[in-house]
Amino acid sequence: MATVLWLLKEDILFEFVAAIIALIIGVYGIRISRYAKRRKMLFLGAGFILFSLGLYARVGFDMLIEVELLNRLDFLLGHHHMLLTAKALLVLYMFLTYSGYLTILLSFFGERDVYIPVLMMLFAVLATLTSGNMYIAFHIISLILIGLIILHLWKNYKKSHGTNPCIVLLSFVSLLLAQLCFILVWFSIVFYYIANMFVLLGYLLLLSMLIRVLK
Amino acid sequence: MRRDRTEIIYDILKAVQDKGGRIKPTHLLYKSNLSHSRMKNYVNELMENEMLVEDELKGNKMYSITDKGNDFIAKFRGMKEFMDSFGI
Repeated sequence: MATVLWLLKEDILFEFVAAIIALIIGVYGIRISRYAKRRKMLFLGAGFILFSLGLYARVGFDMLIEVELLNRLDFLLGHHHMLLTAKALLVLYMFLTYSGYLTILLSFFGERDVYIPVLMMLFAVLATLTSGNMYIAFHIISLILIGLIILHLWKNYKKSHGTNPCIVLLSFVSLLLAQLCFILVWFSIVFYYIANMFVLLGYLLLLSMLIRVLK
Repeated sequence: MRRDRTEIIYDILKAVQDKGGRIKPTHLLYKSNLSHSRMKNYVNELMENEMLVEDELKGNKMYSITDKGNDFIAKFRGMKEFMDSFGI
């Protein structure tokens, strides 16, 4: 059975691996955009690099929390500087992740409809900042944004019925389930463990697609 | 669907590769689905970039693909698969 202490060590590793995979996919996407002169690929690559940076911020946040919880139990009594840094990293993680989703959506919509992702970003940031629970708001909005990405990937899969589009679709479904589990953490900490597993699975599926493509 | 420049280059090189690495200009014109003048421009550009070379077979003019051209096809195929995976 997963314990809180186990999770606090393993989630950092999972996020770190996911961040590396996101970075590899992002760099490859940008390389393609330069080679094939496709601006949409530039947006897709940039989106994954933003995910990667967001995940590194999240790793920083989790490391601070772990250090405080495991080594300095006076964390809960208040360590304002540490808390402020942790909160800043969490907000940075949320902002970079939103930017990642919306940059990827921009690669699907095209530049003509640039106002759609911009308005979505404005809504996402304002809704998160003004909500009573930033954590829940972030995961609900992420759920919606991933849902929009999945809609595009589902249409793409229906058109081609290829293995790679199917893998990409499944990877984002896995990320969607992760968001759902992050919301359910409210009811049980076990969902945090499952959510992290889904995040890792999602990125591993993307890596398997990249390996298939480069083979 | 309208092809972009990179796709046209890929289609030209692929047509040569599919014919065993050597193709007649008339076949290439038919396979590349371009007007004569546009095909000529692309072929000249590919020859300047050393992806295609012009040679002769039994007195007929032919275009042959180079290692650099084959390398471009391999790279572009992977990139195209990646783009298709995301529907871009």
